[in-house]
Amino acid sequence: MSRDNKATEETQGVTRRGFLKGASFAAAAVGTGSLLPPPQTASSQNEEEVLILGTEETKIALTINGENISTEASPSTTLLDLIRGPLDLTGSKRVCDRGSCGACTVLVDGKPICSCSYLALDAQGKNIQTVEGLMVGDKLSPLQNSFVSCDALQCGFCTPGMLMSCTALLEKNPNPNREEIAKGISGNLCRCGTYQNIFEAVHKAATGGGK
Amino acid sequence: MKSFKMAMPKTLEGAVKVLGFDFEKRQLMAGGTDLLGCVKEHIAEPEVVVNLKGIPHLTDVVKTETGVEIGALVKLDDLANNKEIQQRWPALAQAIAQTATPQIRNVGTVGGNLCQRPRCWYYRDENYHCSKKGGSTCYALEGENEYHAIFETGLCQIVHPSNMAGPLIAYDALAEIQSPQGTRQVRLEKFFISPDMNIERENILKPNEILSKILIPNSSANKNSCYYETREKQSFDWALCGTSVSLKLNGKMIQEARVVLNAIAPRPIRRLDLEAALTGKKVSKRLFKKVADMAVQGATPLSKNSYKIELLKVVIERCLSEATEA
Repeated sequence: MSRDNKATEETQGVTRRGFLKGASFAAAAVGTGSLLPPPQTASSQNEEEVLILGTEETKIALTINGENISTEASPSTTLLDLIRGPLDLTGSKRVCDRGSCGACTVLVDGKPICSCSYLALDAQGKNIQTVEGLMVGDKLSPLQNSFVSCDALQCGFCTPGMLMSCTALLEKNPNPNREEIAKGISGNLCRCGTYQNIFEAVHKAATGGGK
Repeated sequence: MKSFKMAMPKTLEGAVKVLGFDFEKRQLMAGGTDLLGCVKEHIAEPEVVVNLKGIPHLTDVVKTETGVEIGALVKLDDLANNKEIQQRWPALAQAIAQTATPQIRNVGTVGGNLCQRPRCWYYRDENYHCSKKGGSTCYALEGENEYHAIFETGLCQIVHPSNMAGPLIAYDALAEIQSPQGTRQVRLEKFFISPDMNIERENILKPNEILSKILIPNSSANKNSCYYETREKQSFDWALCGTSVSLKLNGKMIQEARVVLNAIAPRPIRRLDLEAALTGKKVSKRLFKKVADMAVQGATPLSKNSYKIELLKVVIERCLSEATEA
């Protein structure tokens, strides 16, 4: 969504995003965990009391694109819901919401994961990188540049996830062959079928052509 | 997705206590990739999710005197890239490398893979109150059953979705189970159950039990072992048919054999009859063909999956060939 679109939306009064944001904050009650005894009756004094969180929001701290963030999320909030909602990082896309398409791919401690199938609470203390974190200042990363120059996108919906999978691949294997690239993006679906150009873009970035 | 609470036990003992006696109300979570899918589809609506990630040592792979112990929360990708596993138990690494996608393998765990719920589309659809969900009908029996079972059919036609269960059974793996009374070990082969034992579950775990680790004995390490499966898609797909074999060879002579078939029945099935047919024989294409033909005797395919019979024969022959060529 471009800035202009956003401005237009806001002038129309209640926006969908604005409404959702407001609703999520309204629902954010005092987010502290409770110590509940186990469901069974007998419990001696030595037995572990198990921390039970929720269902209301609870405080979490994580690092997103190098920035330490303190926020709140309920136990059933996925990482994708957290980053697209309250954190307003809408680069990661929700498509299948079942971990099969890869459009929501982000890196957790450097490894690609589907943020739709990963709980925000599990991201506590982890280092998250989203597509918004790929740029250095106002410059595209070499991989992003080669995606542009190789025309490695059509509708663009798979692109943020593709970029994250390819970024992780190049980090692990700076000069992947075609088969290795195919394996690297085997969790990302492109309905437009732009795979050939994505192979070329990764190859170009790997060989220094994306700078 | 229906909201849930999250329990964060610090010990396995604490986890089994908080689980209680009802599968529906309190559910275990390891990586969460399967559970979250079930919650989103409204086929699981737990009040409390018991998150195992706070329990130390469940992510450890430990070499012991007798073998290797794999914690239930070891990530699939970590195990597939473990050099020891790749060299000594190659079929296991092969099976995991073909599981799901890189993203899922970075989150999904050994315990979660073995305990994942079936992929049957009637089971996964909240609108079908099928026999696995406490209803009285298996909709696959008369319905769209092309991906369903060809063995042990009748009550519930699911195929067990784990492919790594096959090699683990071929390697004589044990499952360690934590219950309120303590821990016990069972052979992984006996961990999975048929629908006639309990149509609503795929394994022997009770609501307050946890699969905590897998133990593979040193004696089963074998380079002449292989996992072979066919799928419709190259990625993010479940097997149509799968076979795991482990052959102890003396030259061309087969001294000992393990054969496990998966994705063809509600549980992975070890085939003692095929093992006996291989043992004491010399490796040959003819023998493998004979064993493959034997394997499908007694299959009871459904209306749309008899293709799996021919497919399974090919998969078995290829798996045996690859194991002997290793």
